[in-house]
Amino acid sequence: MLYTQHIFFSDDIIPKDDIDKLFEKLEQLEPPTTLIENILKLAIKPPPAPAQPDSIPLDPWVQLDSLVIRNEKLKPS
Amino acid sequence: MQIPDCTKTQPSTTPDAKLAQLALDGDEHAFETLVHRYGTTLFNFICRFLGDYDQASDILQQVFLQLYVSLAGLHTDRPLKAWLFQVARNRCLDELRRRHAIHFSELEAAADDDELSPLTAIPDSLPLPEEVAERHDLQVCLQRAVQELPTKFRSVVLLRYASQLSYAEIGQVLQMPEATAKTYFQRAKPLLRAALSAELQIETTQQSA
Repeated sequence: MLYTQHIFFSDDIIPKDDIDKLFEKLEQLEPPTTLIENILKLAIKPPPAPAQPDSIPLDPWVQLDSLVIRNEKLKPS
Repeated sequence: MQIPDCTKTQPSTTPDAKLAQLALDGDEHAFETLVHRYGTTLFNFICRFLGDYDQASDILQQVFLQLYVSLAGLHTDRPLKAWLFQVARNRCLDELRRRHAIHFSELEAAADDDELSPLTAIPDSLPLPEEVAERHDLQVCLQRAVQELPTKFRSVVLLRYASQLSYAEIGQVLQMPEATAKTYFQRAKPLLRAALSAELQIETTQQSA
């Protein structure tokens, strides 16, 4: 897991309190380096062939979900 | 941290709406620019919301795939950033509902024990230097405090602290007035303070502004 330090905003007129200061230290998580590549590969690949007229239409969420590349070696969370 | 190769992507100043239009017209690099522009902030929001690094990866893919298939129907007058965070939040809420439906008993059991989530566990079996250990402890405490918030407050707090959105942008994501987003954020503060007070020994009373 990779971290980088936050670049914190300053658009609030209310002065920072103790909680703000603590959360300034919240480290930024970096997504896996392969994730962005996967997204680009998936999104930019040619669209699937149109469904046959007699086929059962799939739930759009199921269709979208089926494109996601999961790390199958990990235990389900 | 790996620096993405942005040599082929659009300039960072190109507006989102323009990039979305270019992507719709088949410009792959325009879509790539959008992914690089929002990938990390969306990932932070999702990951902190769910407390699950691997699941956040799955959901981030779903969000960008949904963007890609929705490009034609997007309203260019509505900020794309707000749309993306709204989709991410909805997918997170779907996931939480699914967890409660399927794993409710497991969640109850998990809440009783003191195990750290995979998100907060830094994989290192060697003894940590004191400074690193303290930093790790703080990250664990902050994550726990956020996870204990009701989802409506969690959204606002994470959009602000983890994704660094303005109150106006938070209002757009959550479809509420900017003032309401600000109020939610301020109402979440005492809850965060209470959750953090025991572990970090901070003052439990509201400090005057």
